[in-house]
Amino acid sequence: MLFLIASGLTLIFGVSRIVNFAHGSLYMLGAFFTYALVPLIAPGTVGGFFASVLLAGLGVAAIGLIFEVIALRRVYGAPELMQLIITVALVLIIRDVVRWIWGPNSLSVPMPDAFMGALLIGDNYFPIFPFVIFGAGLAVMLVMVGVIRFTRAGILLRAGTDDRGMAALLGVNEKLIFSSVFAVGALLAGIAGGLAAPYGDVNYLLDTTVIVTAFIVVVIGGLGNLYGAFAAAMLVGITKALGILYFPRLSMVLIFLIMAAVLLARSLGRQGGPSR
Amino acid sequence: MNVLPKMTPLRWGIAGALIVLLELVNRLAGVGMSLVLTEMLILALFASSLNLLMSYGHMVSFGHAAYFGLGAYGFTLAVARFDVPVELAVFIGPIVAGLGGLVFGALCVRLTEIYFAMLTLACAQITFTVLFQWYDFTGGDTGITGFMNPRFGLTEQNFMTLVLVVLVLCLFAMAWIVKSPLGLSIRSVGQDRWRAEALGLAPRRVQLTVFVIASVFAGIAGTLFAVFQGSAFPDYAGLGFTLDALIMVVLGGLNSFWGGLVGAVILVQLEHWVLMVTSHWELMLGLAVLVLVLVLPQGVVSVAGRLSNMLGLGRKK
Amino acid sequence: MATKTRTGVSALALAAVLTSAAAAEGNTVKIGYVTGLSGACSSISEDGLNGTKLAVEELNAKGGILGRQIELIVRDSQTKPDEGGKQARELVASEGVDVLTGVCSSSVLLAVEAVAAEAGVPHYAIIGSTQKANIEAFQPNFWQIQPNATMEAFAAAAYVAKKAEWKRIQPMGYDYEWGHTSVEAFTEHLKELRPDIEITDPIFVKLGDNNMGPYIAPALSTKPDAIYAAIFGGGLVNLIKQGQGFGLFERSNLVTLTTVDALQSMGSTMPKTGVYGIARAPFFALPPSEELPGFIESYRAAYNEYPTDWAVNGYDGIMIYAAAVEAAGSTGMDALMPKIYGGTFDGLRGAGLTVRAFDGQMSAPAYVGAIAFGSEFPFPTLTDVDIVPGETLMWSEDKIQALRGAAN
Repeated sequence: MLFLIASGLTLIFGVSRIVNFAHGSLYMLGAFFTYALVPLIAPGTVGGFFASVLLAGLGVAAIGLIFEVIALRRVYGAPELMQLIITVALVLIIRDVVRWIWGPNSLSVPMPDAFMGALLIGDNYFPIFPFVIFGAGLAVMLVMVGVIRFTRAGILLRAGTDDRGMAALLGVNEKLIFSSVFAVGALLAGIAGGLAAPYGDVNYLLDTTVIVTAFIVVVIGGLGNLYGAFAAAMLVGITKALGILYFPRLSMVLIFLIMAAVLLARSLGRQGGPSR
Repeated sequence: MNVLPKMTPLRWGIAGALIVLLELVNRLAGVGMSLVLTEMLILALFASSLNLLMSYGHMVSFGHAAYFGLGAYGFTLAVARFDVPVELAVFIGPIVAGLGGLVFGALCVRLTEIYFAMLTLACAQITFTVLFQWYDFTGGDTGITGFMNPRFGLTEQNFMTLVLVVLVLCLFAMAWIVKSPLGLSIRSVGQDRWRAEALGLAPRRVQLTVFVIASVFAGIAGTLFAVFQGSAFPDYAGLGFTLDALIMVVLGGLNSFWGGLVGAVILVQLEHWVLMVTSHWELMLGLAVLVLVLVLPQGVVSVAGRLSNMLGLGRKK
Repeated sequence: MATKTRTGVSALALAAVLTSAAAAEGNTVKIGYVTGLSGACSSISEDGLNGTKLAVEELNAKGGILGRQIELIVRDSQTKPDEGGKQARELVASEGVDVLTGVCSSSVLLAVEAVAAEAGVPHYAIIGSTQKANIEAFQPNFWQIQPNATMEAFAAAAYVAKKAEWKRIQPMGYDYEWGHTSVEAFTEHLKELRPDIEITDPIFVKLGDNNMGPYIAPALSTKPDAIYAAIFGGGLVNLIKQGQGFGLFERSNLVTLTTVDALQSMGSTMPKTGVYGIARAPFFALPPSEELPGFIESYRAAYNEYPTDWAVNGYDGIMIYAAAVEAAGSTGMDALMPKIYGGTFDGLRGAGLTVRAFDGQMSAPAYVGAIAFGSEFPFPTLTDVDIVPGETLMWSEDKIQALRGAAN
């Protein structure tokens, strides 16, 4: 789950060098769209649920695309900070509009009937829904890896990540790549929000809770590194679970410490020693 | 980049007039306005300290509120937990912030650009989490209240005057630092660390110095804020304050001495007046930031500069 | 984690002024209402405000307080202590309010109380309920009309103690001051009442964590007969929803806070058995009185929903204030406070409630019962409700003084 959010964020950063503060907001939009769609499309069924999530994701992708075209595109040449501030502006706008439309109360998205309840193995209960989310997340990741590995779009994308200038020289349409990458990132965030919606509550403050964790995952995994994000999502999840058991008061500090340590280690390792 | 705006006699005059005007509004417009102005000036100091780091050191911090919070808590804890007299404690706040800046800064300057920013974020979140969770000492989320008379017991107007004086003094200090040989090193490292290194500067040491200086000024702002509120809460070290300050600097104008100051004025006044018309402050702020950044990427200060050029008041390049 | 932009969360500081002809003359009783209309507190703040507005309208229709109309001036704290403190200060300085109230969230409550105490303005709590306001931060301008955090935890402990078949209890709480205080108070009281019960190490939930799995699994691993959870709002919804996937309600029971808004938002996702709730003022379990049916009816007419606990307390708060001002003949603090601390008050939550002078705590009852479906209302309610009298939940004066001594 975390991975889905983080992968979108890291993808956008990798290609466009944009630190997208609005990623949590896109996630939240996905959850709210799903809330709105689930009662309309075959409520209670598995198919209806996934269809709602997919539609919600596409809706979020469309919004991301519009935003990229009218605002972000104008500041690619500007300092990174400008891009960041623009995404912060988007955070504020989305949050207020969501509160306007859906109100401040926590909303609850019903779970598809088939996913309610638990598997009973021996004496242990295993809730079904997290496995469903995990499976769906894995499926999305496989699709993405497939696209990146084997399609022309994927090749262009990798070219853009590796050397933007060279790709542009070779006649790759940079604008098109940036726009579609942002849209895909938004799609992933939207799908993640939609998938997770029935598991917890949906409210207009979801954005901030999500974005900080997503940042941590992306940083630990290496900015722009898709597989790193996957490993980091696992690491953060496990650290949290263990932290709760053994260092209940320090679990958050622990995660930030890991993040700091990773950053520092990276500076020594990759960039060739302390002289830098 | 302009080092400092050249202070012609006319500009001194304008600056002086603005100070007098602020003080007049403070005295005449009612206590409510004094409170708004006080908050504005404290945030202006905070944003200016971030601006020092960003505009001259070219270091973008995502965690500057940590030092604001450390300043507030350094002061508050000294008074509430160690019974330090208030007059002494006001110096402890900035010192604690500076020490925090020294420790975290020493780590952060090992990195550059976005990695630097991310590490400052991690450091700030650690600070926030510790303040939030160490109940016995920091009071946790319920903070520390009622340990002293807010504003040293001064009236709202007198306290605003005090803050104004502190702000002006701090701005002079910042200007002096920027102009000094140290400031020269800061700027040259900010612009091109490789060349600076080739010239025999130690970039990291210079960056650490400016980081600590900016932390101390943020600590002064935090201390003033704690005095103003008569309380300290973990929020002061939270991402919210950092983002606000970032928005202020960008709105006001990056790469300008006045950026943080102007941005704080715009943001606080905008909030004050927008809220009288509509409840959708967040939406308005978001749209305002979007439009301003797209239309005026150099910030509002650039308009003032162009205006004054047009009017023939311009600086000589 | 509070990571919203400070000025960011939208603000409704617009003075929503309920005026009438008399208000224009300036001879009104001004109630300064600082509440978290945006931010983490927004939904319950709105309920509290609705109840308050209803009370103000009713009082004004009857001629106001002391013949003066009431003016309600509402400001948004954005659920941030510095913003709440600022708004309170402005209300005192610019509007000259007679009383402050409405605050949600412990930290904002303490920030506002600091301002009110400094300015010498009466202040009472109707939502935020930290016991710190009664103990170390107490000032004689303050009273609290609802059970404070430790009282609610005591009520939970008293209820758990009655369940003779429960032998092992697992406490859980939000990982911040309120959660820790509640868990400690619960543990302390339960140990006194039932020394035989085993209480396992508490588990604390990070604020804003949507994934409850990592907390639920270890909580159940001790095989408790019941879990006491000092958790509310979105976290509680998550706990109950996700708990079903772990078989929580087949293997154990849950004792937690279930105010009417929580019951409503949970709806059909609430398990049929195994949940026991503590509430502050559930309208369906309030003692029958003359005013109650009329209140519920006019509330539903005005807002098209059932009144939540917060609405009831908002309403009661104003009524108590009005009664004390009438008795004092003045809104001034010196005249008013003796009437608050010396008076007996009747309200929707019963008759004969009093406020202690040494900590400003009202002897407000807590309501504990089992979740039940199939009542006349379109959401689950509580059944077999114990109304725990406030007197039995409050710490003695000696204990309060000892705690104050320890805090300083």
